[in-house]
Amino acid sequence: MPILEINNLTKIYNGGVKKNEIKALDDFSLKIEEGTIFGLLGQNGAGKTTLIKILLGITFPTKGTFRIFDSNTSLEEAKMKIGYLPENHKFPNFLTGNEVLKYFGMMSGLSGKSLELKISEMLELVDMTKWGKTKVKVYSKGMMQRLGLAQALIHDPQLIFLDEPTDGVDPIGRKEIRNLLILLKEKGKTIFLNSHLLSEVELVTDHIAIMNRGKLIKEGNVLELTKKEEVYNIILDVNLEELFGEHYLTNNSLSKVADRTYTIRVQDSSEFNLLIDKLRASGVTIKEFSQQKNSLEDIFISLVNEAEKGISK
Amino acid sequence: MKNIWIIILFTLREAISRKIFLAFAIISTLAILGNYVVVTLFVRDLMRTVAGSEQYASIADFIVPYQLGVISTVAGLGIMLSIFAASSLIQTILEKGAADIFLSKPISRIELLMGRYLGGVLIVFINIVYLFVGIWGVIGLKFDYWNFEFLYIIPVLTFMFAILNSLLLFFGVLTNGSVVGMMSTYFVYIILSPILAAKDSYIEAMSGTWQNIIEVLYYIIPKTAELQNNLNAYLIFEKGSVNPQIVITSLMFMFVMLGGTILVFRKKDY
Repeated sequence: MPILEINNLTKIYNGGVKKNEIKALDDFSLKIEEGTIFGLLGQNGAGKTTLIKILLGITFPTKGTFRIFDSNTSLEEAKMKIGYLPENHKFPNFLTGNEVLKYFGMMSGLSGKSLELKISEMLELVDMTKWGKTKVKVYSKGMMQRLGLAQALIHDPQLIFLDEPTDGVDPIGRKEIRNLLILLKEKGKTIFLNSHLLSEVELVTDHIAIMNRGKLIKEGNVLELTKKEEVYNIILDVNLEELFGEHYLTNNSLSKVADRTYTIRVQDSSEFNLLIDKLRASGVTIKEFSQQKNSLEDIFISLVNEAEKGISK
Repeated sequence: MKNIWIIILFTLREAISRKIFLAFAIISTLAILGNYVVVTLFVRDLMRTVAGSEQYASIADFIVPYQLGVISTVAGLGIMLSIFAASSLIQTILEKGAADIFLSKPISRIELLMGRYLGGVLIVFINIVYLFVGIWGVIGLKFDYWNFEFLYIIPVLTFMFAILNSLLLFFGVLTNGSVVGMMSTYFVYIILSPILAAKDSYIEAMSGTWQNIIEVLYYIIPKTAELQNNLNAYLIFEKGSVNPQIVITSLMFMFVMLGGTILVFRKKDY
């Protein structure tokens, strides 16, 4: 059973006047399986943050329903098992890092010794131990993100919503956050990730959805979405044209891209296997081969452009 | 209740950090010291001067009017400072970036709101206790006259602030800012309530429509001015003279404001 099921959610921001209506979500439906890292992609204003806010009861839907965990779990109960790092969050600036974790930990049901232990553990996890006693008003953006992440994880939630978690974080910190997400997934947590950084999403997510103007335009497994149809890169120890002549390349749908490096376009993988067998039989050493992939960015841009064309028509 | 208590603790922590307690403590200490100076330099001399006259029968005849004077001067200032200090409390948790975190926690919106509201009232209560117990103590030590009725100002002022704080909260949630709330609260406390409290002195001279408007307003608007007047009367006459209507209609106003705030807040998008 999916951990999260969204059915036909619509959110219209009114602004008091009908003509100023903004449809932030438009009949949006989605299912997310437990124990996965799910990435929600979309341009600014696509409705990603609105969706998370509705799921957490911060904003209310105009139409539609959703279920988190199981149908018997109320939103208040579900929140006990949900962690959330909002985009551009603002902690009360009079608190220290320790106090932020203390108060938000208490609000998440922790207390006493276990809370104290969790505070130390979380600060260590996000590499902020030495800043625990400093007021958050002097924190950099990256430090705020780390503390926000600690705040989201302090009560050991089952489902974690992260809205732009690497925003303002340096490259090393980003890698640490990516590793942390993978670690959390290994522990069976479900992660819902909103990010503009498509290359990062590609590195950690199992499943993605792309939305545009409040609508879901594509959903699927990252590997399937980015896979290019039967185009392979192959690196050999020789130049084939020198060994067999130029016609060999044409006959086998090979294109040279660099010294001893080729791409091959085939109908299916059996055709590719035949070529490999042929090369091996001729004594050619295959140093490396890989199936070509589209980057998530390519997919994203092409899908959004298609959707925009559809709207303008 | 546990969640409300957590929010109250958070509110007290904020008051300490924002130096609300410190500012109140400094002002209150100055008021207590000022009271000490006035009592030492003037009141005692005045007592000696008129000691033989027939006008004053007992020490209470000096002290009670003096205490009323203190209440009139300090209470108004205290309430106005309290409104100012509490005006931004709700904004801290509802401003952009903070609301998302607070509202995503397993705390109901009502608990969040009530924790903030009661936290504000508790801050003011602590400061009022310090101020008036201090003044009362100085007078008691100087004259060995311990007028416990004077301390009724503590619950009365706390109640007055609780009523005004509900108005502050209502506009804070409705407008997502503190300015309208602060202006409305000052308007009710400084202008509307005293004018309506004195309605008997001018209502006869008004037309029927205006009389009706004033009468309706009188029962709607909280009677902070009358609450204080009633306390003054009680201190002078040393007997209960509080009109229950004043307390009940003021309480109703407070509950309506809190109920309205909850209704607005429960369905508001952040």
